[in-house]
Amino acid sequence: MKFFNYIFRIILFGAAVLLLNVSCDDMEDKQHIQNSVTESSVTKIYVLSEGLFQMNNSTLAVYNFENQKMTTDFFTSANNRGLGDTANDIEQYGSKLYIVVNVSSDVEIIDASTGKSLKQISMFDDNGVARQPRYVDFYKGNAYVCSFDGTLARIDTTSMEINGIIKLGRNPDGICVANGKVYVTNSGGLDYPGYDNTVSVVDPDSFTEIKKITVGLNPYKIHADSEGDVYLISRGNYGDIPYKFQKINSVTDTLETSFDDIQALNFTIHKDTAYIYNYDYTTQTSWIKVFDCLNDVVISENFITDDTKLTTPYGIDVNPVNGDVYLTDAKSYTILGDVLCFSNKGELKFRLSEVGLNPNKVLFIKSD
Amino acid sequence: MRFSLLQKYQLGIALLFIVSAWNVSATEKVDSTKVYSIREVTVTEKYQNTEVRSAAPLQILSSKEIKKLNALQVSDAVKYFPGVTVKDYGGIGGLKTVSVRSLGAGHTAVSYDGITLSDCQTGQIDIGRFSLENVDMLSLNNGQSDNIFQPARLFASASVLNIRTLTPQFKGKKTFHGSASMKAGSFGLLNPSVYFQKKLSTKYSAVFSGEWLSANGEYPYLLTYGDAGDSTSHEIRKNTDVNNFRLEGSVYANFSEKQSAYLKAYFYNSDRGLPGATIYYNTDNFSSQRMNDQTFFVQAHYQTDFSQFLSFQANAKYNYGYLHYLDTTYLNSIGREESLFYQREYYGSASFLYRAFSNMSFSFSTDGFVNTLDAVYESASLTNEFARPVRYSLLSVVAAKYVSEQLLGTASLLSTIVSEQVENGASGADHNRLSPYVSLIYKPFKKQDLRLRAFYKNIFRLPTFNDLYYARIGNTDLKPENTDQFNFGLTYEFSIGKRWPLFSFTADGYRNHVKDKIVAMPTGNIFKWTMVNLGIVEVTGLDLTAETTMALIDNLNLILGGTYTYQRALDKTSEDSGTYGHQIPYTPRVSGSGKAAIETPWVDISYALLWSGARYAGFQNYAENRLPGYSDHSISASKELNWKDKTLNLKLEVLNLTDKNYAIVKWFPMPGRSFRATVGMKF
Repeated sequence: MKFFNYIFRIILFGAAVLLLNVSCDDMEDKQHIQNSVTESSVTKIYVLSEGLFQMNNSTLAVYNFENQKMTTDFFTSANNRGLGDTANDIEQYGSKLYIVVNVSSDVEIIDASTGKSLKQISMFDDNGVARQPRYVDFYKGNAYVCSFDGTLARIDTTSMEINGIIKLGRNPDGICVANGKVYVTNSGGLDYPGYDNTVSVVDPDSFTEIKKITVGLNPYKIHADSEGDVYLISRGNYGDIPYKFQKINSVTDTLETSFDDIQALNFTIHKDTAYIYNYDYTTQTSWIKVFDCLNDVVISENFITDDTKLTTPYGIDVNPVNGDVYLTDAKSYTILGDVLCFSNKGELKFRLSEVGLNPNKVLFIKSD
Repeated sequence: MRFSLLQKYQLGIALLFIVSAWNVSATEKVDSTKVYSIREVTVTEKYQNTEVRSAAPLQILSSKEIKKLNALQVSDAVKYFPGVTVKDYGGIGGLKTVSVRSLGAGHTAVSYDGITLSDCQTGQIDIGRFSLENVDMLSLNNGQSDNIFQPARLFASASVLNIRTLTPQFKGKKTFHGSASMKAGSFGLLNPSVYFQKKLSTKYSAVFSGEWLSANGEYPYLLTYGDAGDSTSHEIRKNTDVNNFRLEGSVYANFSEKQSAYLKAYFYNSDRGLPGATIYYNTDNFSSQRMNDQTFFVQAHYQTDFSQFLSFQANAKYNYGYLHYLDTTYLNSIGREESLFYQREYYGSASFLYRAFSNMSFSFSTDGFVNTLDAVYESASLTNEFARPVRYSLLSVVAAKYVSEQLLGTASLLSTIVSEQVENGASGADHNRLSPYVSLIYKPFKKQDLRLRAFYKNIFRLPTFNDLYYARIGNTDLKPENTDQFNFGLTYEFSIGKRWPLFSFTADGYRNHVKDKIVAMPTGNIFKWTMVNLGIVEVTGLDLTAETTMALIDNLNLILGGTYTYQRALDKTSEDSGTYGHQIPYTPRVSGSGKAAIETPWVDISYALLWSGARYAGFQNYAENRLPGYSDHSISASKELNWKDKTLNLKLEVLNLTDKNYAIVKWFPMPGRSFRATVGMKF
């Protein structure tokens, strides 16, 4: 019975190998860095994170200041499904939040308090090609969404249906409303190196493009101040033509000023103060300037007054209640990023660590 | 076994199937015995013997073994090697690259009949494109082969995957024989092939092989919108059609006992859809991306013994690669993204082997080659800006080998001189490096087939043309990616009588260190990524293999085999990086494979298993990046019918038995359960 003895040995060996397989997987999930912070001006903040291209990992995180609780996958837990791929923008209108998801090519309209999706609007053309929506803004009961396919869609915020689509320039990459008109930057970003250099002005009543204003090459983010002046960033060609901060007069709809010495990547405006930042990919250094939109002057060359270091600024938003400035830090783009809150004096108030992958936008919610 | 004086020097690749070897004694079936007559090798032995006697880990799969793995493409079979991670984007047309011991696909050279295949553009070979139809043997060398008499390029990578095609073998007076087969299967698979060998004269013989493969590849999968318990939808993979065509012809010459040569021409054309990642709410995402690629090469090999002491071989190759990529849904103003790439390689190699002493041999090889890349884009300005690089490489290696009854050792020193020129912009740096290698295997007991072995290798991979010059992302400041490999192992084999003719076991522990790892990072903006040298990876691993054959009763053989791999591949770049100490992406901590086959006079049944633990699809080992482990089971039944000198083969395979759409690459689901039937005829 020597033979069966061998068989037995082999079975033992097989079992040992199997056991090795099952038992030796010592690879365990590591835990996010968590911090508890307090803030009294708002009850919670939403943080939208883009995720990485083609990874379906856009997230909407919520941090609740009342119980210091972070929920990084708030959208997924509220809806039993993920947000999708490359969420570029989130804005609030009344009790609803509008999330623009670029690669999934949809607009998610969710309830601002529960996070439940009220409507998912797919954005595809007649041939089934994704429009790739980028940014949203609102005017008189309508949401306006510009898409990379060169269109502007109008969504009725009550019925939540698209009620009009018009064609603008190439690869729109920014939108704002000023002086009763919708301004959309046409970047032409996919036509390297032959970028677009126009801003489309749309009359919302007739929903037609009434003018194309020539601005700098490759225009991007666009915001208005209280006087109706429209500020934008044109990104140049990432080569010999640098980034530029520019201003459009919304009465004459002409480019009024190019602030050639403000070579910036992104900005936001709060109560006629613009917070403008740049990040130099080559030297990996950044700066944040404070700009007075009423007098068009830089009032601070270095917003951050303490020794806080940002790795890779990726989004900038201001708490409308107290004027705190929130910067998102994308770090290396491949790891979870942080949200940093600065007082309007430029001192770090707190940092929320590892909120999402490529966080790009913070929204402030004050519930009663 | 007694070796002749000449044989004593070398133990190279020699091959005899375990089962057939055993059949030789049992049934005198000589035809299934195959011997590779690479000149250095004259020892005929079971290939497991070769595996356990190799100073650096070597895995071999014979064509007969491959058939038991229910494999269609080379990539399917390679998955069964220990320490190997095949990155498989799913489906027949999906890209499949092989990374060995966590070093990355760019560190694995792939050779075809002894001459390296190259893709200077991407630095990695899509092994999914190679058919197993005319493959006689696949082998994988960690480090490098014990065979020191080979082109310098085969010394110049961290590991080498060798594809060997069938060589002419004629029985008796027969001067013509061949085979034809037809495969059909799920998702529209049709794969007819023909193969034949013709003896032209006493010195010359010709081999021809041709094959066509087409499939619509549209398989169903379950898309989960989050974690388990979240919403799901049933989808069908789109834009997955494949249309491949391969033609291969060779002429072999045996001028004399001491002089042989071959000349081979190879043509491959593939027309396929490139299914993108499965994007939520946009599953047709990028479903209009198309790719057409062509490869044509001619290679020649000549080998001669000048004397008992001195041998010489020369190799030459011309390679042409064409790739056309087209996306008609790209949102630029002309409505398409399109690129055409043309690669050329001119390659020549000369090697000498000098058997200086009875135990000692030396070799010297030098390879010179030129690689070019040209590109045409949809935009004229991009086309005009393209670097059009030309890379001149000169590789020279000196190697020594010592063999005695109990000891085998090799050492080599490789010199790499690379110079690069471009038409536009800056060119990548010139390189001049020396790369050492040593290996040793020792048999402490004369009567026990137990061996201890070790190797050390330092080698690098050059930045690829894509790394350096790809429009918008290339970075000409890149340094080569450097690797150090240390391996310690033991091998053991024994046999007990007729009932248990073979048991072999190998265990290898290793430590790999990668420096200046080339990774993509965004610069300029999120759309503008570039390649940078960033990263240190430390890999600590263990590879185990075991294989046994048993005769349960007469005419009923059981073959069992398994591999197990443990890899701790940790990012050690910088402590404040957020990924320090994290397992690198797409590298399971544990993985393995298993196979079992029962051979009976009536039917042969084979079962094969691939198994992988969880991996992370991102750089951080967080739950949201976790990609669950998987197991892939397949089973086949095959039957041979003989009539005179003709054989009819019938085979039915059931693949991925459990019907799970597991993913090797996140958002690229693998097909579920599928079927494949083969009818083959040998004449």
